[in-house]
Amino acid sequence: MTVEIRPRIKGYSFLLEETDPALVFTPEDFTDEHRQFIRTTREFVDQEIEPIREELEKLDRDLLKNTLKKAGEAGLFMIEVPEQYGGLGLDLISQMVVIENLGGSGGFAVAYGVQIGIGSEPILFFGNDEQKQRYLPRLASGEIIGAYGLTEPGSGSDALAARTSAALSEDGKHYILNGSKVFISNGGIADLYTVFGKVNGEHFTAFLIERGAPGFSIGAEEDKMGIKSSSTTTLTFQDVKVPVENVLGEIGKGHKIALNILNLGRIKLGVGVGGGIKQALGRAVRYGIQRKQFNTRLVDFPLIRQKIAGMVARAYASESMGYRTSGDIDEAIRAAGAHGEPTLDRQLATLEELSGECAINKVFDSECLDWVVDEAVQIHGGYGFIAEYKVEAGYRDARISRIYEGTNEINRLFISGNLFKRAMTGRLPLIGAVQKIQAAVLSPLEPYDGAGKPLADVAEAIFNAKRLYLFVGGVIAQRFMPDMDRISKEQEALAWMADMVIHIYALESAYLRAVKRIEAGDPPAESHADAVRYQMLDSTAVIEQSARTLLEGYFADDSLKTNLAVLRKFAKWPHVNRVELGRKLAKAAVEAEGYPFEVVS
Amino acid sequence: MSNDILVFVELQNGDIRKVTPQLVSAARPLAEARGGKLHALLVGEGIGELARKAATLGVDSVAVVEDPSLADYTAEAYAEAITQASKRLGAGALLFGNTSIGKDTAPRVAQRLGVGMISDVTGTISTGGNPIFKRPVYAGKAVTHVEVLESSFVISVRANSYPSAPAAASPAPIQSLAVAPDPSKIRTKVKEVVVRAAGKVDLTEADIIVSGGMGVKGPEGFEFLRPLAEVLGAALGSSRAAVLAGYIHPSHQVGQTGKTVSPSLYIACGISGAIQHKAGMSTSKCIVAINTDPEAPMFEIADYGIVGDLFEVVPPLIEEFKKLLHG
Amino acid sequence: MKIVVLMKQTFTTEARIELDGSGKPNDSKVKKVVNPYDEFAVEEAIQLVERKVAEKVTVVCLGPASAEEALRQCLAMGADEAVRVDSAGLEEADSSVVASVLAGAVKSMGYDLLLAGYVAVDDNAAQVAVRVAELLDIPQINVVSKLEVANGTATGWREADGRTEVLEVPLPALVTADKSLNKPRYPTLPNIMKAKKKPLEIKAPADFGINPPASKTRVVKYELPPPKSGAKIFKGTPAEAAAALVKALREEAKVV
Repeated sequence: MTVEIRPRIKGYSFLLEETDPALVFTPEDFTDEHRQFIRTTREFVDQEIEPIREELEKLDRDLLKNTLKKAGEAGLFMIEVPEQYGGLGLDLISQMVVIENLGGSGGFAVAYGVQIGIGSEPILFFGNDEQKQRYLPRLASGEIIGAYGLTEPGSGSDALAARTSAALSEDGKHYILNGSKVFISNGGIADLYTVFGKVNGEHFTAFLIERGAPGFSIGAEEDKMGIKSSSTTTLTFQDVKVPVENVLGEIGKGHKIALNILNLGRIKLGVGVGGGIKQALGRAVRYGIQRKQFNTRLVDFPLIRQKIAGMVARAYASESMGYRTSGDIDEAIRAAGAHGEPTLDRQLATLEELSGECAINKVFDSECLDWVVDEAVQIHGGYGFIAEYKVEAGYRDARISRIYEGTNEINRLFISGNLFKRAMTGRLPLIGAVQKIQAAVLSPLEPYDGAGKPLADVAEAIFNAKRLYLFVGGVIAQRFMPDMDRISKEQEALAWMADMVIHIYALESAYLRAVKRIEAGDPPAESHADAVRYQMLDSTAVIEQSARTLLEGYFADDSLKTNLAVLRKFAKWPHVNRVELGRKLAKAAVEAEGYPFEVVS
Repeated sequence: MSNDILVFVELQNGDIRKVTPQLVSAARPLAEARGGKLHALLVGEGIGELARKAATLGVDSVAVVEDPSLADYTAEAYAEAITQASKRLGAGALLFGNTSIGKDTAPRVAQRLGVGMISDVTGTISTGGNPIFKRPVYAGKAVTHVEVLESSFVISVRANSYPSAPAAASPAPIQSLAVAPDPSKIRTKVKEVVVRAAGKVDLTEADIIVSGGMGVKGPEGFEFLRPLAEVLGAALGSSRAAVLAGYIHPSHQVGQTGKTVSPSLYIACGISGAIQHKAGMSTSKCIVAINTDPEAPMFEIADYGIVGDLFEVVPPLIEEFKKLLHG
Repeated sequence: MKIVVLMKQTFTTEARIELDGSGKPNDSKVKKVVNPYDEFAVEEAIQLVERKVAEKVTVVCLGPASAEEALRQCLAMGADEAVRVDSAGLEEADSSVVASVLAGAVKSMGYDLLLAGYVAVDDNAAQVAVRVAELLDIPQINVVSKLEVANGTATGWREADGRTEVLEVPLPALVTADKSLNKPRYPTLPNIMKAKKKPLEIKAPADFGINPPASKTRVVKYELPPPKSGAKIFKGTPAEAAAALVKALREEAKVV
């Protein structure tokens, strides 16, 4: 089906045009209601999770279930489920404020994320009314817990290679399932499992299986590196009879479910991870204020300040990007529903449109989180290595984020592969833009017109980064044209181009937010500008390095020289004094005793 | 006439509360600046003996209101008695201790007299013209100077903020005021008064507080601290964490959500010094921190510190105090 | 039975206080919340409705438009309606002025039980609620840790210095909350949504026929306390350190 979406909400369109900051949603735009959601979520964390954190880490299934039940009582599972099925049917931004603020809760955040995400969404988007009536109200209230069984011992990233089989019984009333699943989050505590198997060994299909079904057994808990308070088990199906009414969606259309759910999963994971970034940053700053060495607070040492500045810039970019994408998705869904209720199909189409942005969030945020928790441990010194300090668990908990919801490698291939596909089919007018750039480089470059713009230096850097991407992407794609299969095998090219796209989007998102602050005349706008410039230093370095590596990898001799000369034309970044800027940005964090752009107390 | 100052003498457990001579020393310069007299007011029943004791507080006169309706403390009866007495004496300014009775009654008296009030005063900035007083706000994170804009006013004074006025050589005259609250207007009934931990020093008024935190490791830890408190005549305080852990009754809690104290000596044993705790005790005159962690934030606001295990430090400390105070 | 709760929006207790150019606390930098003690009062009011002792809870706040967020929170906790009395022109008003406005508001809306926190954590004055009770000529039970309401009377366990007073007053009356009164709930997400549809009225003092009187006290200066320079640490064996400490307390600090 086709959906009319405003041009700015075309996936990847940010690479081709400038975005009006006024149209971008930022945390400063939170409504009173968002703020209240945030407060309730934080109260829940402070009152129900923090006091029992150590016990939760030991994974007592009853305690975990009980705590999830309390989350249900607070309404935290109701966010996405429509009102008619006992939920609140909130837009994505409103869901995100809850997800973000639970994001620092380690394994509990995972259990929560599964419940509201892959534990409920397959039914929400693909269930029939009877299935929705049967399960959604109970999932929304927390009466039952959901889980999702896709990965198998032999299929991880290659998810559709499942071997679990389903065969229709002779009387036509049941499918008989055989097979096994691994790494199933909430496996040990769930009541309802969405499980994928192949009917007659070929038609990939989703089934709803309730705990206790004869032949369905749940394995022992995995002993994991992190997120220890979450349950992760294997599932085994031995001639499990699943009533035909429990087929979810259509026979042979299971991949539709699996792929569509992933888009939402990625953006939600990204925003949740953002919550973890801010939490680790806060812990590091507060520790650094308290701890003295050589009679000086740690936060007053310049090298510690630079670490803190790096954390703040990443947190800022990640947060700006997460709410930008979520706001765009909301707006696109609303636009899609302008002539009537946005149907689920339309919502899914919107998510597919912005699937690249969803993946960008996931990759950028999870890698920022890893960097931030690592430096948080470093700031803690020896104490960071001791379990008594919470950064130790935070460090271990972070690691899974780069692995699940598609490894970051798979996501990078997706970001570029998806983009190329859209360019080739004309869905995105990329080829025209590339041709324009290639024509332009033959003559002196048209200068950027930043007159009268706030942060014009950053705007110019973003403008140049986009031109550089179009140029490099263009020349590399041309090397493999018209055989697109060949480029899909060049994983390095796809991944490094994805790095450029990721950093362009992240930097631009941060920039748009800061400009919005400046235009609103907010007093802390200066700190916003500092955060953007600090991120610019890191992002432009990645963009330039990726471009160079790509050119060096795919060109040689004269053509390399020519292309590198073009690279130098574009790779012109403003000079920023990192020493001063880092110290200043960190100061804002020290004064705020944590993330300085927190909008809710 | 209305230049006179009235100090409310709060009675508790058959004695005059310790804050009273401090009120006298806060009031005297005000009375002098106004050219007025300083009256002490006692209300209650059967308090003749205490009135004679009050006569040596260093005031110019003592006024006593006795009535059966004042036998038990209620805000309604006290406010009425104090208001009437103040009018009868022609006092323009009233001083209360910022005690639980002061907090309960003083605003009612101020409202009844139609005057302004400054609560929880910790110091005098100026007495001439419109007096200006100092009081902490934002949990001690800022101090304000507050000016009274009319010649009549009420202030309530935080315990231990002013020195105690020396006892007078000769007692002041005592007068009995024929003031009686209208019983039909006293709607409050006192059903029961439960005295907690009789004989123990009250936390908010204590001159010295020995306080314990998570470092005491359990309810037994507070029993371990008790002899130290006893030798110093100190009250026993605690951090919120120790209360939450069930080591000690919540009435001992000092801090943001507990009691605000300002003793001359605060000995923090095994208290790390969370900002919330510091909010309740940072105005103490002298702070001692005993903690195994040299980085504990309590050391930052302490005047003296010992880095060490309180279980090893406290016993010799008790011995030293015994030698000093009783030896 | 109708309950009115007096609520104030305050700085968070964790807030770092900074002074702005005019020497006043920098309002724009600090996050604001329902005064924690007022939160106990709101919770108690809601519990009285849940126990079917009361029928309706109205929360009243004198404050600027930004205080509506705090009122919404009270509604989301379970209060039925909220009234914001606009504080325009009263930003510097002292407790006597605030009390006169609130008393007028409460009087005109009608009530059987008036609840409030016993103190606001920002100005720490603990005057307004008691002054309101005086203006309304109703009895009070201040700083209660436990409350029972039945048959037109309120019985409160008042936490006083060194003792607990059990007091009984006929309604209407004022009861102010101590922190041990209850554990305030956090609003659930569905209740936050429902609260959007609950009435939140905005009034001016004049709507209650009040012409606010002039303040009788005035803050002339804010000061930040000077930072302490750190403790003098006594080293050596526990006995040596203890001896040195006691000596310093006697001779230097002169506190024992």
